[in-house]
Amino acid sequence: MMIPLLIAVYDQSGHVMDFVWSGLIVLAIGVVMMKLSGGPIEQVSHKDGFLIVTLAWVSLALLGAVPFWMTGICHTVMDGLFESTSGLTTTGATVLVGLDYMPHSILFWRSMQEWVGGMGIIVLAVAVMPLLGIGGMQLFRAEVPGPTKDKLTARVTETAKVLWYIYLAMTLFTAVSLWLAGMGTFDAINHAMTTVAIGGFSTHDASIGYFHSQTIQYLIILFMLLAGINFTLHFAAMRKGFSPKIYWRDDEFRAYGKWLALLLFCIALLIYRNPDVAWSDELFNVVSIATTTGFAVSDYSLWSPGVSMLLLVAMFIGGCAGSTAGGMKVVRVLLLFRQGLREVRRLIHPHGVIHVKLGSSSLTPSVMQSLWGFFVLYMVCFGVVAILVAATGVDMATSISAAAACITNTGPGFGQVGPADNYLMLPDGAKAALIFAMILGRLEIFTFFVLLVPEFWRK
Amino acid sequence: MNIVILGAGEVGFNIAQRLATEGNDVSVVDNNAERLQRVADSMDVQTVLGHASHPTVLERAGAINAELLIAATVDDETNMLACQVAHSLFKVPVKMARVRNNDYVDRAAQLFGRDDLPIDLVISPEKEAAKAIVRRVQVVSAMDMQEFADGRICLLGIQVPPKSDLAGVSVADLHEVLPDLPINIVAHEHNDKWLVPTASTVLLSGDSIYVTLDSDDLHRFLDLIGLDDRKQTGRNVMIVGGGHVGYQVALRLHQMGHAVKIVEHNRDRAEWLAQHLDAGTVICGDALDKSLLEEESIHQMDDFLALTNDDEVNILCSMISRQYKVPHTVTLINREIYGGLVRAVGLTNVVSPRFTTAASILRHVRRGRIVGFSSLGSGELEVLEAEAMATSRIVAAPLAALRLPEHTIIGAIVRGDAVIIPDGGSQVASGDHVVMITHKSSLRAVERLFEVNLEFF
Repeated sequence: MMIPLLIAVYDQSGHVMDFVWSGLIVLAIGVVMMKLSGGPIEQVSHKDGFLIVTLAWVSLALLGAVPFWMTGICHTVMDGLFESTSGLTTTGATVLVGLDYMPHSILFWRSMQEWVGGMGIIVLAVAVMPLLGIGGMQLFRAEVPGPTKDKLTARVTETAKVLWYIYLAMTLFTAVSLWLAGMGTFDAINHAMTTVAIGGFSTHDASIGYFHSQTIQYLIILFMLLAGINFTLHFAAMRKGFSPKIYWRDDEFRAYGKWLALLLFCIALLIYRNPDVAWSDELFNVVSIATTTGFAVSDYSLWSPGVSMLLLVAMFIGGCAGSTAGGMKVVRVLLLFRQGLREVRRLIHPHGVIHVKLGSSSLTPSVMQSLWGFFVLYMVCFGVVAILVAATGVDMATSISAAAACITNTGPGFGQVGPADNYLMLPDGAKAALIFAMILGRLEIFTFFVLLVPEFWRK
Repeated sequence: MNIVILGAGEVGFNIAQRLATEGNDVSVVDNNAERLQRVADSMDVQTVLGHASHPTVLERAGAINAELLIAATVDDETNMLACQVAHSLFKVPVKMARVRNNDYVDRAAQLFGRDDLPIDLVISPEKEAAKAIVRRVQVVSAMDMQEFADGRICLLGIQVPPKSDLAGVSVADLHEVLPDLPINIVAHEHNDKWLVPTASTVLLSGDSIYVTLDSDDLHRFLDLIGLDDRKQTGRNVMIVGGGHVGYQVALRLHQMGHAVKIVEHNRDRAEWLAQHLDAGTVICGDALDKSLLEEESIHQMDDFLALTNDDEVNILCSMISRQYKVPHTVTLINREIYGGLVRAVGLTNVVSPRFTTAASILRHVRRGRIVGFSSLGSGELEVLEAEAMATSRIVAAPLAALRLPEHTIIGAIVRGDAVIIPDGGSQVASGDHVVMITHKSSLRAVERLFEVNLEFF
C-alpha cells in the first residue's frame, strides 16, 4: 500500500498531487480491508490458496489502475485497467501513446508494476503453483528450496525470500550494466525492472529501438534470456558458484536452449534474403518474443508471414517454468512432445514399458493428465478470447495475435496490435476480454477456473 | 584352515565344495534345512541351521576358532551384519561378503574397512557376470574372453573355424601359419575333454581352444583366422531378463553406444527398469512368446543375451534365438548340471556367475603371490596370474629346463610394460607377472612354484 506514496514522493515532474490522492485512496481501501478481515489468518488451506492468489492479482490490478485514472493519462476506466493489468501480469501490452513525453512518474509507475508483478510471479510459479499442483507443476514440488513442511505459508515465505534476493540482485545488475552501456539513469532503472520481469514496458514509443545501441541490445538479450530461466535453477547454480554444468544438467534448460537456437535458425532462413533486417535485430526481436518480454527494436511483423507464424508459436511456448516468463512454459511443451513420441513408440512396441521422463525421473500418469488438461484449457481460453475480440469488430489477424499475446503475457502481437501500433484503438469489449486473458494466462488457467466451479464454494 | 561359510545357495555350495576338497575344515550355515541337507550329502563339512547373522548361530558354527568367514547369503544386509558380528564378537581375522546392491558396491571404498564395516573383500557376482557378458559382446566371435595383468593380456576362447588356417595345424607348426603374431594355445577341447595341449596336439575344426595373446593383437588375430569382428557400436542387442545382471549389462551396453532392448516378464520390475534406464526399450512380456519376439524383430538382432534367473528359460530362449539366426547368443547358467548340457544343444557361449564369484573368493583364500584366478572349460582347467619373486623357484631356469608340473603351460609374461608370449627358451624374471594354465590336479604344484624359498632368508 505504500508503493503509490513512495512514487509520489520520488517524482518531481508534476502530477504530485494526483499521486498523493491515488496513494491515499489505495491506503484507505487497504486499511478498511484490514479492519474487515479481522487479523492475520493462521493457517492457509489448499483451497484458500486458489482464492488468495486470484484475489491478489485482481485487486492489485484494480488498485494499480488508480494512478492512471487520477492523472488522466488514461481517458477511460477500461484503458486504465488494461494498462494496470498488463503491467502487473508482466504482459507489456500498452494503450499509451507518446511515452517519450509522459511524466516520469507514470513511466516509473508502469515499470514498477511490472517489476512487482514479476516478483509475485516467481513466488507463484516456484512456491505456490507446485503446492497447488497446477497443470503438472507438482513436478517441481520436491525441488523447491526451503523447509519441506506442508504448510503453504511457511514454505512460501522462506522460498520467496531467497528468490527475491536473486531477483533483486539481477535487477540491480541489469540496471548497472545498462547504465554503463550508456543509458540514462532513469531509463536504465526502468528497463532493468521491465527486462528482469519479462514485462516489456519501455519508456519510449520506439521501445529499445530508440537507443540505437548494439551494446544495449545485446545486454538486454542476455538479461531476457537469464530472466527466462527457472529461478530455482539460478538458485541451485548460485550455491555451486554458477557452474554451467548445473544449468546444462537441467532438462528444461537444454530444451529452452535448443528451442531458441532452432527458432533463430528457422527465422534466419526466412529472412536472409531481406537486406533490411540486421542479424542483431532478428536476435533481439526473436528472443524478446520467445521469452514473452515484448520489447522491439524494429517492426518484425513486416518481415514475412512465416516469421509471424513462428513468433506466434514461440509466444505459446514461452520461457521456463519458475521464471517471470509467460506462455505455456518450455517444460510443459517438452513433456507433451515427449508424450507424443511415447505414443508413437508404443505403436512400434505394443508390449513396451515406456515412461515419459524429465531429467532422470519418470512422470506419473496423473502429472501427464494435468498437463493435458492444462494444454486443452489453455487453447480453449485462447480460442474463446480470440473470438470475443473478433466479435467486437477487430480483424482476424489482430484478434488472434492479440489474444495470443495477452494470454501468453507477451504484449505486442501482429496486425493492429503489432510492435509499431498498440492496443489503444481496440474497442472496450475487446480490451475487457484481453484483460481477462492476461489474468488467466498469468494464473495458469486452473487457479482461476477452480473458482468458477460451484464445488469450490461448498463447505 | 577353519572356514565358516554363510549361505548354502549356489555360490556358498560351490565354495564350500572347493574348500572342503582342498582339505580345510568348513562349516556351512543356512536357515533352510533342505539346502543344508544337500550340502551335508555331497561333501564333508559341518552344517549349522539358523539365521546367519545371529551370534549364537555363528558360535555354533565355530566362528570363535575360524580364520575366515565367507558371507554368501542372498541378503546383502545379513551378509554385512554377519561380518560385523564375526568381527566384534569372535574376532575372525578375514571376512568376505557378497554384496549385490549397487548402492553399496559403488561406495565400497568408503564403506568397508577395518574401521568401518569390517569386510576385507566384497564380492558382487552380478557385477562380475555383467562385466563378463559385456566382454562377450565386445568380441562376438569368441566364446569367452578374460583379461589379465590389468587388461594387457587377453585370454581368448574360440572355436576353430572350419575353413580357417588353424584347422588341421599342430601346435608345433603354429608359427608357420601365423608368422609375425605371437600367440600361445593354452587349452584345447576335443570331444568335450579339456586338456593343456602339447606340441603334437592337432587342432581340428570345431575344437575349442584358449589362446593367450597381447590385447593389442586381439583384433588382428581374429581377422587373420577369419573370425571377423563386426561393428563396435550401434549393434542391436536383445536382453531377456531385467534382474541385477540384465540391468547392469543394459547400462554398460548403452554407454558403449549399442541399441538395447530388454524383455522382462514382471510388470513391476519392467516399470522400474523403464524408470532407471535412460535409453533403450523395455518390453514387458514373456520371452518364450513367439509373437512377442517377432514383434520386437528378433531376427534383426545382432546379439541375444539370455540373462534371467531361470536357467531353463535362458536355455530355451537362447535356442529360439538360434532358430531366428541371431548371430551371437550368450546364455547365463547358474546350475552346474546344465554346464555340459548346453554345449550339446549348440550353445557354446555360456556365462556362469557362480564360477566368477567362486574364483574371486578362492583367489583370496589361496596362499602365495597369486593375484588372479579363474576357471576354463567346464572347470577342469585353472588360470592363474602370479607375480614371480626373486626367490621363487620359477625364476631359476629357462622354461624348457624348469620341469613344470604336468598339464601346465605358461601362457604369457608381462615384464614392465611389455607382453611376452614365451617359448621354451624364455625365462621368467623376478617381478614378472605370469599367466599360466594348469589342470586342477597340478594346482598345488604350480602354487609351490611361486612360493618364496625360505633358504634365502
